[in-house]
Amino acid sequence: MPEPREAQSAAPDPAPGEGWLFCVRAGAGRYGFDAALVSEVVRLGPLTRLPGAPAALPGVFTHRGEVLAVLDLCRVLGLPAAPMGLGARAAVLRIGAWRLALLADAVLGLVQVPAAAQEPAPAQGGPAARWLRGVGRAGAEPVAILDLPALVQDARQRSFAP
Amino acid sequence: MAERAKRRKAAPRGGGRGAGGTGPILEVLRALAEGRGEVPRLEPERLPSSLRPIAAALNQAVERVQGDANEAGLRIAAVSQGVDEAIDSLVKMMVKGDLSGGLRLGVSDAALAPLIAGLGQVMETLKRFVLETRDAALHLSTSAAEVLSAATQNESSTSQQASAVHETTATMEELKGASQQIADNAQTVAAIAEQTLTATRQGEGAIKAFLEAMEKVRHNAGEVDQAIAKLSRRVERIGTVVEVIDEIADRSDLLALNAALEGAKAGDAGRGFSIVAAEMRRLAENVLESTREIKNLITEIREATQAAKEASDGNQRMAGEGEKLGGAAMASVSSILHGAEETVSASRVIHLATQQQRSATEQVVMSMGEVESVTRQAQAGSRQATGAAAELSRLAARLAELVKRFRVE
Repeated sequence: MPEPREAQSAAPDPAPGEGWLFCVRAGAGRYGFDAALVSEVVRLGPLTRLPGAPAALPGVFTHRGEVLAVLDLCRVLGLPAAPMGLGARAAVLRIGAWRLALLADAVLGLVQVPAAAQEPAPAQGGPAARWLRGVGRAGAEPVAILDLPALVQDARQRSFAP
Repeated sequence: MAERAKRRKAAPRGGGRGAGGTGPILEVLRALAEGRGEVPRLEPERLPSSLRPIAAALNQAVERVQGDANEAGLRIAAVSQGVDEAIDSLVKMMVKGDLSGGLRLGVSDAALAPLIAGLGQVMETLKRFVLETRDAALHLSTSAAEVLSAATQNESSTSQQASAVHETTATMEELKGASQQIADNAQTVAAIAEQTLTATRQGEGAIKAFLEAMEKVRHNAGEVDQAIAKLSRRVERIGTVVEVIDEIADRSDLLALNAALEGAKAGDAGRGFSIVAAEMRRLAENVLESTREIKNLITEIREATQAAKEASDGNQRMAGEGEKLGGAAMASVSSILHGAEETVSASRVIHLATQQQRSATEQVVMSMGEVESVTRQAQAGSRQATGAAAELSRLAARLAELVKRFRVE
């Protein structure tokens, strides 16, 4: 996995599409995060597995000449591994200088949740409590809004941990 | 003879009268001539002298003649007595029936010898005759007994024969009835066999139709098989097309998602873009939903066609089995047909034969009637013969009894 530069200084760009959440499904839950982090959604190509890598990082794959690490949100959240078959979709994220592909059980799409429809995270947030920023009401199902940069940061640190 | 002697003696009566003294002489002569028993004597003293010698001579002659006549009379009496005795003895013997002894006469005269000899011969002849008759009576009795026995036997035989003939006639009558019954039954059998034949022919037709139907079923099953195979290929093709559509829809969805992302990034300026992208996504999702349904349908169709193929194969197999069974049934029916035809012809033959038998039996019954009548006549004749034989036997016994009365030894 290439070491992105300026990792610490990376901050989400104040994207013009404020309020748009990019939603994925992991297990039974719908999780959303800032849509501006997503540069595009791609089909997951053939995966190259990395020996000794943690379960949340099942491998790397090449996209437009660039090698991207794949992060399995399901495993990060302590759920069973997301499917990685043909046609599986991955969201290509750009978090600061880092680019990686996020994998979940399914990519749901964009949801716009106004600030008024956002509630603070409940006391018991489950496995995602650490990165939970709040809960958005959009449609019938609530969206757990994640602080994805923090989550990625944690995942990275955990993967480098001895 | 005694009469004549009387007359001879009586003749001279009325004489002694005559002219010239010849009258007495004439009277004596006439008495002599007439053969009178008592011829008067002349008294020469009372006659003229010339006539006295004549008278003396005449008296002598008369004396002589009278003496001869007396002697002859005695002899005649003796012979007559002998003849009477002989006849008497013969009559006694005849009445007694005793022929054992000979004739014994108290008188013996030479003149009787031929009579006694003749009578002896007659006796001998009678003896022989009696003996022969006795023999014949004995034989007759034996023969009559034999005839009676034979006639009795014949009568009983004839009776037996008559009863046998009667029984035979009755049996033949029964046989006639039985023949009629057999003929009727044979006719019934023939009719039933005809019905069987007709039914079996219909059965044959039905089996032929069944076999044709089975053939058609097999053929149809084959066509259904081909149709199912064709359908399978079409469905596979549809599956391929649906995969392509799926792929396109997925790609469209991905594109729309990315477009939405771009729209979101463009802020308010990208709003319209985002709406279009969302609409596109919805469309793609609709397509994906539809293709999912189509895929489900295809799966169902696959299962259904598989089931149909199995059913069709089963039909084909069953049709084959049916054809085999139909063939076996056909063979059975052919056999039944053959049997029924034979039964029909056999029962016809039986009917014909029993008709002939019946007419023959009728003839026999008629003949037996004649035989019975003849037998009855024979029985009557036999009875008469038996009666006659019994009568004959009785007669023979009577004859033997009669003959026994004559003692010959």
